[in-house]
Amino acid sequence: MKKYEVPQEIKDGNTLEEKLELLKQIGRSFSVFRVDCGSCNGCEIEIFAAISPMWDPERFGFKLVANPRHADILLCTGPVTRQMYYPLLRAYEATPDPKIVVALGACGATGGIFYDAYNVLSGIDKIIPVDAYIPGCPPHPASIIYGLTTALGVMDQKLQKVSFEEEGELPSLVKDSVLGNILFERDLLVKAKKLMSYVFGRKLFDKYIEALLKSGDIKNTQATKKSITEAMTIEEDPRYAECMGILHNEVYAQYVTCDEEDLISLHRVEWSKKQ
Amino acid sequence: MLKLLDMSKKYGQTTHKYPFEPYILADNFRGKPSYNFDWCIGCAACGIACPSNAITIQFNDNQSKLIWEFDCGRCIFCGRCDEVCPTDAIKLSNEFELAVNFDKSALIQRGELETQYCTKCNKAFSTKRLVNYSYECLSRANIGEKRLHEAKSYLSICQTCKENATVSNLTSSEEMVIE
Amino acid sequence: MKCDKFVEALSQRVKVLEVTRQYQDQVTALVELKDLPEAVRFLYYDIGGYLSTMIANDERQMNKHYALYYALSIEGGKMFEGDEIEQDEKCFITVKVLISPDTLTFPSVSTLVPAAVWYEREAYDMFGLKAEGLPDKRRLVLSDDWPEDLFPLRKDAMDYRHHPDMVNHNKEPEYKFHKPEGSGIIEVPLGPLHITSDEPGHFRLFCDGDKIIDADYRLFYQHRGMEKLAENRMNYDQMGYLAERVCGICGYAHSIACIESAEKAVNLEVPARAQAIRIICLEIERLHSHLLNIGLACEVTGNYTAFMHIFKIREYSMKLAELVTGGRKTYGNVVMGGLRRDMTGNEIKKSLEILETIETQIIEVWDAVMSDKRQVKRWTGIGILDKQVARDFSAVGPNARGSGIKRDTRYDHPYDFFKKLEFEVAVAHGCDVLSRETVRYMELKSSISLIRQCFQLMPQTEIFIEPELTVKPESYALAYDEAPRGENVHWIMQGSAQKIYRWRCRAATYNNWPSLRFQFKGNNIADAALIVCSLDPCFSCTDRVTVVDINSKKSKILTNKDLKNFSRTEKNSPLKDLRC
Repeated sequence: MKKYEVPQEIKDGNTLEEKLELLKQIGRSFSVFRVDCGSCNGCEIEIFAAISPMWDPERFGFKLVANPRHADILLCTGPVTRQMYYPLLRAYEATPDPKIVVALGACGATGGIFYDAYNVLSGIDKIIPVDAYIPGCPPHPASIIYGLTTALGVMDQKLQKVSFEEEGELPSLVKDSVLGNILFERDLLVKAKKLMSYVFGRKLFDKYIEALLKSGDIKNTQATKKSITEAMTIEEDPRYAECMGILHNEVYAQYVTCDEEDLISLHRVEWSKKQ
Repeated sequence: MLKLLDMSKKYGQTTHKYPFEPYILADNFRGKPSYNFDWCIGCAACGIACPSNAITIQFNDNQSKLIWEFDCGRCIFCGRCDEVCPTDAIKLSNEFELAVNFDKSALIQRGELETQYCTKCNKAFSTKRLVNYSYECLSRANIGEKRLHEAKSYLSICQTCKENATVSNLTSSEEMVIE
Repeated sequence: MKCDKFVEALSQRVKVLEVTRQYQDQVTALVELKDLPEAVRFLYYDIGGYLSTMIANDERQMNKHYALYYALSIEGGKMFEGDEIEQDEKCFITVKVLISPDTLTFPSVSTLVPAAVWYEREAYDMFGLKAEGLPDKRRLVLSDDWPEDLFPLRKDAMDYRHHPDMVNHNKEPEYKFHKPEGSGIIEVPLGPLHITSDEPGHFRLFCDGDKIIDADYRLFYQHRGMEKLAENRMNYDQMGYLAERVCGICGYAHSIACIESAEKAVNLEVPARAQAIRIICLEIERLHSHLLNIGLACEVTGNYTAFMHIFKIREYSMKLAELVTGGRKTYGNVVMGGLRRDMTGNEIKKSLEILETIETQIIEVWDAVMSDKRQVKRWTGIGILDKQVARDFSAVGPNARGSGIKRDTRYDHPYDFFKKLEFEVAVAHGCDVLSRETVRYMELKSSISLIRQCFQLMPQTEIFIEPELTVKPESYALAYDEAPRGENVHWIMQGSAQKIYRWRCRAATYNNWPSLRFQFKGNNIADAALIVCSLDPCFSCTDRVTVVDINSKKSKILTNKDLKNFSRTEKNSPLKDLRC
C-alpha cells in the first residue's frame, strides 16, 4: 500500500531541537486543534469533559482553536479510516511548523481493537510522525490532563519499558487445601464467581475460608455451621452475608456429609436486622 | 439568566485539584494491568481471551524461551485477562497516568519463561512452570499414588505424542486396570 | 401464539412459502421475490408497523442464494389516539426473500416504503445486490476510492485484512451531490473535519438567501469494517467489547443488544439479578447522554453558562458509572449468560446518594434554562419534523416522540427486567427543537426513577449462568433495546466453531438521517447547527465552512467562530457581501 511521504520541508521544520524550542516558547499558552480520524467518539467526549469546569485545563493555558492554521498541537483520535486519511493529511500540512502531534486513545496509538480491519489504516503513527501517546479506551480526563502536562514538561513520564529475562527463585503457587482435597477450593471459587462475579467473588472466597477456619474443626458440621452463621450476622454487607450461606449449603455440603439441620437457613429475618 | 448566576454562587468552585493533588478513583476502577512475573505460568489464557490481541505469547526464534508481551497502547482495559488468569498473575490496578513521549516502546512489558521440551520428541510445547503447577495441583487432589506417578511422566509429553500414545494404548489389546 | 394473526393476514395477501419462529415474539415469513414490495407495504401501512432493520446475507454456502430479511416492528401506526395494536400482541415479523447469484437483482421496496432507501443502498455497497427501481443509486458506506467490483461482506471476496491501495491525497475523488434546480442558489459545504454526528460528515446546504431549500450529505466517514472483523476474529465472549466501541455515547446499548441476540437465538434465560443490573447500567448511560445533548443545544445558541453547569452535573453521572462498572464510558460487563460484575450493598448505598444530587441539580438547571425567554424563543419553531414524514421514514427515539408519535422500545417490546417496572413514555407534540429537548428532560427524570425501582426490587440470584448449550449453526434472532437515541436493533446468525456467521448492527440514528433533509427545509442557515444537534448525533460544532455563490463564483472562508457567532447573535450575516 502506498504510504504518505512527509514532504522534505515539513521534515526540516520539525526536527527534535525545533520541537523542544517550541515547547519552551509555548509553555503557558498553547493552542490545540482536534482531529477525529474515524474514532467511535468516546475519546472526543472525554476531551469535551476534560474542557469542562471540573477539570479546567485553561489553568495551564490550554485553548481549543477551530482552524489548523492557528494550532501548535494536533490532538488526533481514532484509527485512521480510509475516508479520513485525506482530511488528516490536509490538516497536517496546514498546521505551521514546528508542530506537535499527540495520539489519543488505544485507537490512535496502535489501532486498538480495530487494528486489522479492512477499512482502517491502523494508528496515526503509520501516517504522520507522532510525538506523544496517551493510552486508554477512552482515557480518563485526568489521563488526558496528565498527558498534556507531560508533553509540556510540567510533569514527568511514569511508564517505562519493563522486561523480565531471568526466572529467579519461585514462590510456591499452590496452597494446601483446608479440607485435604483441593477440588473443594476449586468448586468453592467457581461458585463464588458465579454468585458475585470475579471482582467480588475472590473476596467472598477469602471471607468464607476465614470464617470456616475459625470454627476449629472443619469436618465438624455443627461447629462450621455456628461459625459461618456468626460471620454472616456480623457482616456489614447483606450481599456477602447471603452468598456465604449459599456457598455453605451448596458446596460444603457436597464434600462433608450434612444432615438437614446442619444447613444454614437463608430466611431474610435472620441476618437482615443489621441493615 | 439570573437563576444560573445564583446557581454558580451556590456551588462555588468545583474544579478538581489534579494534577497538583492526587486524584482518588472509585474502588475497582479498571486501570493498567499490572504483571507479576513470579506468578505467571505461561498458560496463555490471557492471550486467547484478549479482544484486541494486546497480549501476545510466542516462542522466541530458537525456541528456548516463551515470550509474554503486553502492549499498553493496544489495551482496551476490559479486564478479561484478570478474569481468566488461574494464578492472579495479571491484575488490573488503578493506574491512569500512562502517557509517554516520543518513544513508543515504553508502553511494553515483557517476560521470558523457560521452555519445557517434550520428553519423547523434543519439541518445545510448554513452559516448565506450567508443568510444575499442574503437578502441584494434582498432588493435592486426592488422586492416588500410582496415578500421581503416571502424571509426572505424561505432563511432560507434547500433545501429538500424547495422542499417539493413547491410540497405541487403546489398540494394543492389553488388559489394564484403571484406579 | 404471538404473530400468528398477522402472518395469517399476510398469507391472504401474498403467497407465504414458509414460516419459522425464532423466539416467542419473532417470526420469519419467506415469500417469493416478486411479492416482496407488496408484503412489506402491507405490513407497514395496512397492519401498522415500522421498519426496524434490513439484513442482507450471503447464504451461498447454505442454500446457494443470497437472502434479504426485512424486519418490521408491528406496533400500530400511532398517528392518532387509538391507532395502536394491543400491548400483548406487539411483535416482530421478518419478511425473507432469496436472490439467485446469477441475477443479483431484487425489486426495490423504497418506491412503496421510503424508509428502506438507505438499507438498499448499503446492500449494494456490501454485497453487490441491485435494487430495481431504487431512486437513489449512489454509494453509501464505502469510500469513494474503493475499487468498483470489490464487495467486502461476501464470503469469498477478500480476507478481512485486505487493504486496497490509496490514491495520492491531492487527488481525492469527488462525490456527486444531488443539487436542486434553479439559479441564485448558494451551496454551503460543511466539510468532514468537524463532527456533527456519530461520524464526521460532509453536508451541503442549498440556500436561497438565508433560507435553506434542500440539503444533501455524505456520511460514513467512520466505517471501520466491524462486521467483517466480527465474523473472522471474534468469538462470543469478545463480541460484547467490539460492539461497545461502535459508538461513543450509546456503546453499552449496542453491546447489550448484540449479546442478547446471541442469547435469544439459543433461547437462553438470563438470571433476574443480571437483568436488573443491565437495566441500571442502560439507564445510567441514558443520563449522561441526554445531559450532553441538552448542554450542547444550549451552547450552540450561545448559552455558555448553562452548558458549563450541565456538564458539571454530567460529571456526577460519570462518577456513578465509574462506581458501578469500573469505567466511565466503556462499561465492559456484558458476557453471554449474564454479567461479569456484580454490585454489593456498599455500592448501592453510594449510588443512591449520587442519584439524589443529580436529581436536585437537574431540576434546578432546567428551571433556570426554561425561565430564560430568549433561550426558549431560539428553540421554538425550528427544525419541524412533520408527523407524516416521521411515519414514512420510521424515525426513532426522542426525534419521533417530539413529534407526537409514542414509540419507545421499553414500552412496545419490554425486554429484560422491564416487564416488572412501571414507567411512562415521554411524548411532546410540538415537532420542533423545544419539544425534543423537553422529551429528553422528562426521560432524565424517568431514568432516575427506574434506577431507584431496580435497586428496591433487586433479586438475589446468581449473576451469571454457564451457557451450557449447543450453539446451533444457522439459527438467527433479533434483539432490541432503547438506546438514548432510539431503538437499537441487532441481528445475529450463528455459525460453527464458536464464531458468528453474520452480525448486523443497526444503530438508532441510522433511521433518523434520511428525514433530516426535510427538517432543514425552510429554516435559516443560522439554525443548521441547532437542528443537527437536536437530532442528537454526537456533536454539532461546525468547523470549516466554505460558501460558494454559484452565479458570481466568489467564495469566502468562514471559520467556526463566524458561524457560531451568527448562530448565537443572529446579527451580521457573514454572507452579506457575497450576494451583490
